[in-house]
Amino acid sequence: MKKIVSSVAALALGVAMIGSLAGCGSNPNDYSEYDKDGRLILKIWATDQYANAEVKAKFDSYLEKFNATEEMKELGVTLRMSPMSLLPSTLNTACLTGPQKMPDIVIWDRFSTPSYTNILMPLDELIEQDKIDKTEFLTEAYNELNVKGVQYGLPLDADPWGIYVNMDAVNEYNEGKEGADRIDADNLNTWSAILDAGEKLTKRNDKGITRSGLNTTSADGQFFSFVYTGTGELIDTREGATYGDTVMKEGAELFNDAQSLRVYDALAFFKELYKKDLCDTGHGGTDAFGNGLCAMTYGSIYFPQELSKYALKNYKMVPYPARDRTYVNNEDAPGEKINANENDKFGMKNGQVGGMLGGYGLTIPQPVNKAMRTQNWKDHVEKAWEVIKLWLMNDEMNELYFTENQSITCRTDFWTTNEFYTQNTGVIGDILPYLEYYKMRPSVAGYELFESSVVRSQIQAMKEGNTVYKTYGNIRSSGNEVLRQAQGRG
Amino acid sequence: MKSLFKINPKLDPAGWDRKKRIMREVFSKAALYLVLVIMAIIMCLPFYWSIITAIRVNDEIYSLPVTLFPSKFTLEHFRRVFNEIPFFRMLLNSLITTGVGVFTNLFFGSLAAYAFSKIRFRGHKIIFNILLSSMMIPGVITLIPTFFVLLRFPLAGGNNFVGQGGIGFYDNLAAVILPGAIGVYGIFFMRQFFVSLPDDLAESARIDGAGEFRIYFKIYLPLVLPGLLTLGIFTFQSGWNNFMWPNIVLQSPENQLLTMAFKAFQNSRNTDFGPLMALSIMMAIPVLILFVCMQKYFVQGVALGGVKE
Amino acid sequence: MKGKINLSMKARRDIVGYIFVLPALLCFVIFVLIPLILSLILSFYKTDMFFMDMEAVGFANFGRVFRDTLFWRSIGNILLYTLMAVPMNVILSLVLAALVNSKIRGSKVFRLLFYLPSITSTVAASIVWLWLMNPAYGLLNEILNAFGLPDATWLSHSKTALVSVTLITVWQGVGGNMIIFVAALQNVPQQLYEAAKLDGAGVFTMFFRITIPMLMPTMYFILTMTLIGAFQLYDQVYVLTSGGPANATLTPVYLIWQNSFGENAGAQAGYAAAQSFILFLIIMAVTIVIRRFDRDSAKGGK
Repeated sequence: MKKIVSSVAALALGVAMIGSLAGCGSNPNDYSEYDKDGRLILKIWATDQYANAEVKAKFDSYLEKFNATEEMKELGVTLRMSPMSLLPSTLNTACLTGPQKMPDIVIWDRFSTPSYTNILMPLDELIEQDKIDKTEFLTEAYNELNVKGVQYGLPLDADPWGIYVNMDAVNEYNEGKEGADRIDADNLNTWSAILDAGEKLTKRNDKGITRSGLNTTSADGQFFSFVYTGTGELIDTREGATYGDTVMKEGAELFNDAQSLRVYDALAFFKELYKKDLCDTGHGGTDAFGNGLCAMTYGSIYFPQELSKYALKNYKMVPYPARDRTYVNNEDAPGEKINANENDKFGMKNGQVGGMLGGYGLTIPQPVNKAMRTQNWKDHVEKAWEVIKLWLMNDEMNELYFTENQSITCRTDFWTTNEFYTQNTGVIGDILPYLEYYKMRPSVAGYELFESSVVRSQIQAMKEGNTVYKTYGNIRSSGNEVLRQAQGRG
Repeated sequence: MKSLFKINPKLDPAGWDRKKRIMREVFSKAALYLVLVIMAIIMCLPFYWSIITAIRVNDEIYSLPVTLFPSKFTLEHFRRVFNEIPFFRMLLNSLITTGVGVFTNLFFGSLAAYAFSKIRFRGHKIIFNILLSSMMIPGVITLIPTFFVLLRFPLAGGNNFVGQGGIGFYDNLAAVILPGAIGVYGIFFMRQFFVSLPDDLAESARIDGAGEFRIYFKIYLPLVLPGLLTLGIFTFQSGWNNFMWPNIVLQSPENQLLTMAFKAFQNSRNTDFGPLMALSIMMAIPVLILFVCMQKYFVQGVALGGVKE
Repeated sequence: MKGKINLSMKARRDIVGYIFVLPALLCFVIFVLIPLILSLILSFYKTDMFFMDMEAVGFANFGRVFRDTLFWRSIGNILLYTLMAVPMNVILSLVLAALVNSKIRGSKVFRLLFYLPSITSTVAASIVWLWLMNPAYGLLNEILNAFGLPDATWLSHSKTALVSVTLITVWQGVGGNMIIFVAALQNVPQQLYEAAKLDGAGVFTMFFRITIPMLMPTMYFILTMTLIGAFQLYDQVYVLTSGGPANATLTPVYLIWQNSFGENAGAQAGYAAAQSFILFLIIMAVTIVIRRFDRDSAKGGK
């Protein structure tokens, strides 16, 4: 018997060891935590962009100031932020698990909204009850948080992407040149102008490229901006699918509408970019631009924060240029003549250049299971909403946010009244006049996957040799498959 | 055998022939060393490069042409690792999950292996074969349901008897430990050792009235020590490197493991190689120490347990 | 009387045996068997990972797998990867084992050096390689240039990405297999070599006539284990390429993970389960083929 007892004892020991890790004593009905002053702790989650030490430090110092305000003290809450990698899916898991492990506020990448409506709380009632005026916000940013008439959050910042130009390189090139030989850095507003500048800024020796003119290694991700400034649309948001026939057929049916022709043209422009060979594969990173190895690259309004540690100081940001001519080359599409519509206005009106708008919104997540929406959780929601209102609608607090984080607020009134914007000499000042032409990404479930895995990989394949014709066909067929699955259409 | 050796030298007919043979031996030895050294350089190059990158200043990391030696020495990247992530908290978490995993695998694994090989209870063959065949199942098959099981684990994390109401082991270090607590590989591995030991030891001890646990613990376990240590290294390694699963089940900043630390310096927009290299060096050190200390037993352990079918 | 006591002793030993294997068995049932059954159930439903809003769809998930070009792309990738990585790994580890097993000074040091990559964390090692293969500041291109060769694209081109991943996994995998080969080599009776030497056999003859045949069981063990491991490639792909460029390094496990918990997650749990079962069947088929070879060669050898 002794042996049995001893082995049972050993077993119990092991189980106890594991059990002790299980965190006993937590009461699931009240998961609230308080800081030492008795203020309720509200958890904020943000994307892995905030895991970057400099960004996090900046945001934390802002939070510290925000938490210290009288208004927050009055509310009796304090905010803590943690960056999450794979934010939407981690949040998805947490919201399926229940309120204990959920954050109270999420700094939400707006363009993911359509795919995650089940885990975000509709805010319409609260918005109406507190008479939030949506016209105070940048329309595109506000609407990006709206899916099928339901508002899931309020926009926090506007993050327009654009082209960063190394002005030292431009000035060096222009020295002693006249007229058309020069690079007109103030008018890099057409596709042709960018292409031309890229060629001029590329330096080569017998071994290859020593300075890249235009970063094309990550250009696949920027493709949508060029589609937009070419006034094309890849996705018909009413249908939730790409324009034109969902199945690629022979011949002209692929291009049976104006939108498709414009998208085709944007692809043809990219093909041209790759053909010109303006970029060494190693010159795609931040460091290459910062060290002067790449003269033009793509970046968001926050790019200067990453650039601060590099030698390059003289650069400017320009919006994505407009389409000025067709790049379609019929060699690519055998047996068919593709004409970018000659009557088409060739992009936006002169000077109306823009691109794709990125940015975050503030949202409140909700447990998927209705039974888990406890009173305790509702109390948290109430506080979270108060915080969001304070953060965005209170002028002083909003100013504190955008000055501390060097970002563009979506409250458009500030742009003309606050000297942070009116006196801005940095990239924010560069880009602000064009912000009204920036567009949000299509509000369609599955869009992020469409962008990241379908279009990106197809453009990579095009860079490595696929024809424009085949690329567009593939984007449509596999893109629609992805969209159909994400929207639950089988 | 000895006599064969003795006549061996006599087979050499002439002195110059012997010289030639020695020459050839020296030459082949030199060639062997050359191959070994080249291979060693290739295998160790990444280590060299990560150390060099970790101790040179940022300007030099991102400068051309690439230089093989740093001109300036800095601990900045290590400092950043300590400052910007909760390194010691992560280290502790990694040590806990790995340590408990090693203990349970060694103890319960060898206990089961002992039972399979020395007690030979009714049905031991069938049960063992079922366990063995499960080794072929790719882990990804059970990915989603294992998560579900951990979440609905009765009486854990606020759950009731039927696993409702709470969050189970979600965001708990136990969620990393439990699924791999007693691996089939460990049982299979340890069984090889017990099988190679004679049964008489157990039989005579049983006649003396010793309990089965005592026989296992006092008589057999010390004899399979090389095996235990080897399995210990294997388990430690796999626990230490565990990556996909912790990323799914752990979430809070205070529950992060070292393998999850990298994302602080590598995200969608930027990759900071200096601190990343510093971090990877610090991650390698514990395993390296463990391995160097136990190397003596290691090959011996693999020889006995690893491969016989 | 005597028989009765024996019986009860046997029964008691059985009970002790059951108790000894109980923890292992529990762990197996809870974390392998039950999940396996749940996964099988999942694969016939359209649902999320919490078995909510379940909608029976019959074999539709499996049908979808067969129509899913991305999945078959990933299977193609992993087959290609396996064809490159497994032979490279097995041959290199065998050669290294033979080298470090020769009785020369410092063989232990070399053994440690070759094993070193295996003990580093996959994630850490992958990040180091990401840096080594950096097209601008990477050491590898610098070395190529030093030998007068042009830059290689490594992980940034779809034609070279999978090969680069293969090199990295082989670098990390050979050490472990080498140790197993070394262990097996030490079990080869020395008499065989001595007798062969007397017959005037050279190093290579001995290697191919004695070493290889004696190592056959080990070889098949390593082959099977390396193969099963290769089919489940994930960590390196996650860190190095995220499946790109142009899906060139997309692996089935990466895809299934994406459908289960990654950016593609959502109501895809049932589909992911179906994908994983198809992967399982493919792995099993390949393993069975190898086993058959194993048996045939064993018969032929005897």
